Amino acid sequence: MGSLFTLIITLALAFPIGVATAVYLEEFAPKNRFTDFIEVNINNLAAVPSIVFGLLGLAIFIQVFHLPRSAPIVGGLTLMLMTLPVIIIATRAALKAVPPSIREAAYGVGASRLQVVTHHVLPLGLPGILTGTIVGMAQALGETAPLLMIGMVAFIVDTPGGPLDAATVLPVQVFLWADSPERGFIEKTSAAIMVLLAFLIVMNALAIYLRQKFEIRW
Amino acid sequence: MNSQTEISKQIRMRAQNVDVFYGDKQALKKINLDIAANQVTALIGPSGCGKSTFLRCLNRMNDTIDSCKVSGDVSLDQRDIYSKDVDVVELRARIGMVFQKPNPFPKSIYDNVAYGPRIHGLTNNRHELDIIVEQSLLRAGLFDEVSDRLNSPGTSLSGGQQQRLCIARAIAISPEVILMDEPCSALDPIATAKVEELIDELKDHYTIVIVTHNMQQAARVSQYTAFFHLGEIIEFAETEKIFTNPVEKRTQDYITGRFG
Ligand SMILES: Nc1ncnc2c1ncn2[C@@H]1O[C@H](COP(=O)(O)OP(=O)(O)OP(=O)(O)O)[C@@H](O)[C@H]1O
Ligand SMILES: [Mg+2]
Repeated sequence: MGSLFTLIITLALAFPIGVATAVYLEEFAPKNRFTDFIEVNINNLAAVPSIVFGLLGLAIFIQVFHLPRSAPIVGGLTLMLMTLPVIIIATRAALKAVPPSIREAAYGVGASRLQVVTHHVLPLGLPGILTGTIVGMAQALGETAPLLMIGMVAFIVDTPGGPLDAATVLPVQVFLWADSPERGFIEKTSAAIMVLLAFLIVMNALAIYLRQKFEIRW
Repeated sequence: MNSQTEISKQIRMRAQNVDVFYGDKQALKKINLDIAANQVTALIGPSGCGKSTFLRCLNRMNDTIDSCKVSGDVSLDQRDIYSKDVDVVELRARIGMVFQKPNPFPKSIYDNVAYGPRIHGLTNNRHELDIIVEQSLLRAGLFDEVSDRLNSPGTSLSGGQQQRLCIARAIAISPEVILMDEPCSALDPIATAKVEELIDELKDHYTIVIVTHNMQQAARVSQYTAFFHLGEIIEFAETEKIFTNPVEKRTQDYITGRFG
């Protein structure tokens, strides 16, 4: 359950922010020094080790905003920071891949810039955007290091009732359980791993399904 | 040198002293050209001489290219189209464009044609929209071929049909001027003949500017021809005069295929 809450929060934040940022940068932002600088930084962020994001999450969300430790909301926010660059990069690539002839056609019949983006570029880029998002989410799902930092490590027995309750996520669970090989935990560890893998497979299957569903040929 | 031919017809568009730069590179130099109403004006010239660039000045498509700077005056019915108070969206609704490669939207045939009327709010009424779509397809000479499958994707048509679909899409918003950039270069001779025939019919309702590399085509469909070379207009006159009795030697050489 911890995993689920965390992931929902990550998705709910990272998807709109990421897509909006990418659309702005790709379609509307003027090309100048400043936007170049932002671009380079986004690319760099995608390559930053995840533990650094964990520390950042710890510093910002827990120390500054005093959100409860171990809560999915903190986990989600931290993972959001991590997936954001991935989503932005994937979305920009998807938008770039929309053929210029379609844009020209739309401008040619008198569509405004906004109409070109919302009627044509976004729908055509959607499969790529979704694939990128899901890949980013799958990566977030399997991430342990940043969450260890924000204390989603507690040995929690109850399932959390909401995003503000203490919780732990699957990979962290596996990490901890695998560390304490007392009897009984071996099965639990295996079970948790299987659940995690099943989750990942489902998500990737979803990515492929969505991509094919929205795929448009021209 | 710029043999300014006086056009006897009414003038719809006029370009005066138009310079275009891509970054530091000058693509057009001091272009002066009048475009006669309800006539076909052909732009010919060797590759890279700026024909497409000029065409794109006429409906401000160059605005979408960041590095492109246009100066000089371009007017439509005596109004400067580059002045501040001109709404580009409205302008492009009055000056339609057909591109070199057919580029239908990946939508149904119906939606391709209906897109322009929809975004310009020409009608909210489904029935009226049906009529606009049908009329446009009829005018583009495509209706008979697609009337039974208006909901299949525009991209499923043949190249020639796609190009006529693009023409239908352009005329659906009732433009006054239609710009065509090598509309037949991706088509076979039969599809080309159809489009040429269509252009001839369309000129009764619209003013047409066409870029072409095909001399016969220019001679067949146009009433006026401008010969571009290295970003300048070398000669502009009635098509008949250009092809039978050009003033400039370079024009003569180009149309007889001795250079280019
Ligand atoms: N987007 C652009 N950025 C920079 N330079 C450009 C751009 N588009 C065209 N040019 C340059 O402007 C000049 C004129 O190009 P243009 O496309 O108008 O030629 P054209 O006469 O249409 O050629 P063709 O017959 O091959 O289509 C060329 O030298 C070309 O390199
Ligand atoms: Mg060209």
